Amino acid sequence: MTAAPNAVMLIATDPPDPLVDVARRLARHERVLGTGTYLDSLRFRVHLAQRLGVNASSVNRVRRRRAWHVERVPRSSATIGGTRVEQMIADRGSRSTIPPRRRARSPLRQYLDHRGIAQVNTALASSPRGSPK
Amino acid sequence: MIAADEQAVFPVGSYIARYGASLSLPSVVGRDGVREVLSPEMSDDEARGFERSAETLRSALATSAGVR
Repeated sequence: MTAAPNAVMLIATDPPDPLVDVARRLARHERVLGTGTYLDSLRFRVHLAQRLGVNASSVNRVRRRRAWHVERVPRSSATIGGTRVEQMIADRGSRSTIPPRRRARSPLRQYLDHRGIAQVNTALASSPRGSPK
Repeated sequence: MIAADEQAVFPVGSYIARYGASLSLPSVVGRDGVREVLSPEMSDDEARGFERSAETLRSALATSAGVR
């Protein structure tokens, strides 16, 4: 703070949102932001791309309508080439050794199992199937 | 995005006065940090859920008020 009083502080440590509040209180200014759901969104985009055999940069519109510590989430509107990810998974289901619904939830389960509640809603918000189990 | 002053939109967390807590919403980010927080369209149910989230974070913040 003394060396760079006008610096913007970027909080990347979990849980980012609460720590933004702590940091801004300690810094006594508002130039504090957290990575929020951004990093998890990118991570989930990679999961989707791997599952569907496309480049991660082609996964678009991973909307985040409920990545905010809430209990219920809507379906994702993520698209690839204008096609809903949900539809792509359904279309490709017969060509996979994993049932479509299981494939769709697998990244979500990884978040649930390994990342904890702070990331759950990110996975849910980005999941082709938005229903928490 | 910050150093390059991109003014790009990312889902980052920042303090949102109307919720009294820091939350992640799509935000315009540039050299000065968050320039603007966007308000995605939410259904009534989603808005209630979001407010519950804010309340959870407000409570956590109050609990940690003595942390230094």
